[in-house]
Amino acid sequence: MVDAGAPMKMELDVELRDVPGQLSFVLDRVTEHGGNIESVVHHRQDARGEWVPVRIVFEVAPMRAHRLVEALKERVRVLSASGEKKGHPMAFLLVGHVFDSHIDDYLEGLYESGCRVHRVQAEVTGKSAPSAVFIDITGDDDAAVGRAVETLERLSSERGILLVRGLPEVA
Amino acid sequence: MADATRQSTETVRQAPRHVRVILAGYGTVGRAFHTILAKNKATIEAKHGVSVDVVAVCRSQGAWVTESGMEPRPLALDERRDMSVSDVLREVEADVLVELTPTDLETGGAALENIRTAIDKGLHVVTANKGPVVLDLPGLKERAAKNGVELRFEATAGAAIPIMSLADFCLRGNPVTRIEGVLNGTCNYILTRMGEEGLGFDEALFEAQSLGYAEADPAADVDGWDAAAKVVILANHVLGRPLSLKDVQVTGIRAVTGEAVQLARKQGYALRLVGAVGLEGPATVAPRLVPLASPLNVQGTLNVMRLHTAYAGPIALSGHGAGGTETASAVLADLLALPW
Repeated sequence: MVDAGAPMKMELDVELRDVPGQLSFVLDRVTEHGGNIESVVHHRQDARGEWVPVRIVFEVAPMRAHRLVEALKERVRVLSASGEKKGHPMAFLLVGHVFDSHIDDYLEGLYESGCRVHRVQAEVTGKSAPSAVFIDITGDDDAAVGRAVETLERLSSERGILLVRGLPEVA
Repeated sequence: MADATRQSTETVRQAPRHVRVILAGYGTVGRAFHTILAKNKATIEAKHGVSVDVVAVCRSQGAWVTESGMEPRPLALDERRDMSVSDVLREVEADVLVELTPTDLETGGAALENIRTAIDKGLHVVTANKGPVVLDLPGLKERAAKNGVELRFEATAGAAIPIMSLADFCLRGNPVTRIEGVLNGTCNYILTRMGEEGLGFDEALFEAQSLGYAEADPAADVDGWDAAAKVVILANHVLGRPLSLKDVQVTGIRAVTGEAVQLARKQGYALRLVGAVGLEGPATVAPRLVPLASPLNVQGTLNVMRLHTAYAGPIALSGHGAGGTETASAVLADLLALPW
């Protein structure tokens, strides 16, 4: 058997049609892929018509996670699937006319630094108003995060963008 | 131990030591200090064995001198003497200069020279004025040591928060390696309101000014220089790192937008102006993303400081970083901590 790696925690947000058999389809696929289910929460208050959002938290081997998500997509809507972040997290906020220049440069710089980008969220109020972009990353070590910080500092300073960094939090 | 002896019941039963104060600066903090002192005179005598009298009050218009001790009251113009602080230091017998004039971060103002004169004359000095401490802490400490007196300045960083006492007294033998904190109540009020109500920077600043939390010219606060001054003081005193203002990388909060604060909040972060300095690396003041559950996410005008220690991990203290009575409380604690 192939070593699929140490299990990682996954949070899976799906929308299920409110008919019998939908949830068991999802749970069976998770089990088939060697997943160990921790919790299942229905968010009925957020239902859109017959589609009900459900969050399923489970542990699964990283190598099987991708195939599992693909298998689920056959029958349900997968909203997001996130593995638990490992390594050194860091959050950034870019404030200013971020979209006037190539925003991909920031992301490319982050990838080049060796960090993984988990979330990019933007708040845009109008063409002339400053925007805000939130970026959430992890690096394998402090050096990778340091490179990411340097890259974003350089790009934002060249473009007159305010860069707000996260503060390394202490447990 | 000398401390224990001073505070023992036996010592306190003796006649209290008479302490004469020259009070320079009689604004909100000066008046609050004088009032607290008068109100608690008996308790202070009983508990600390000192009878404290204000023998002179100096303002920009002149000085009011009553060697038998002044009560806190409106200063009558016809009792005013045409004397500067240095005149008073030369002519009035006293034990301590309490220096509470407004901060001048560029030159230190007359306060710097007055503190030097007081030390040379053998007076202890207690100050809430950041200027002289930012500009010449090592020099002033050396001068004080040479003259056998003490210089105390607890109120200069975080006002009511006893951060110096924590570092000097409680954390003896446990080196502080890094300090970070929300060091400016004006900025924190503005950022809190931008997060709570979705206000823009200008609206939140206007509200802070209307409530008296921000000056008409808010530059020192919102551009980060007040926080930077505190970073310098903490770096010098707590970390023993001789930094000056020019060594701090300072970014204020003017470019922060309401949308940015709201977006950060949705992602689980508050935006706070954080001053940070360690034993090495850059000293900074900048808006930072602080997890909503972090002790650094204080609300309104509060300040907070977190010390990272070699053996005890992080220790955070929060409280009021401005205000008359709050600041005066730290000045009084300094006065009573002097070796009387």
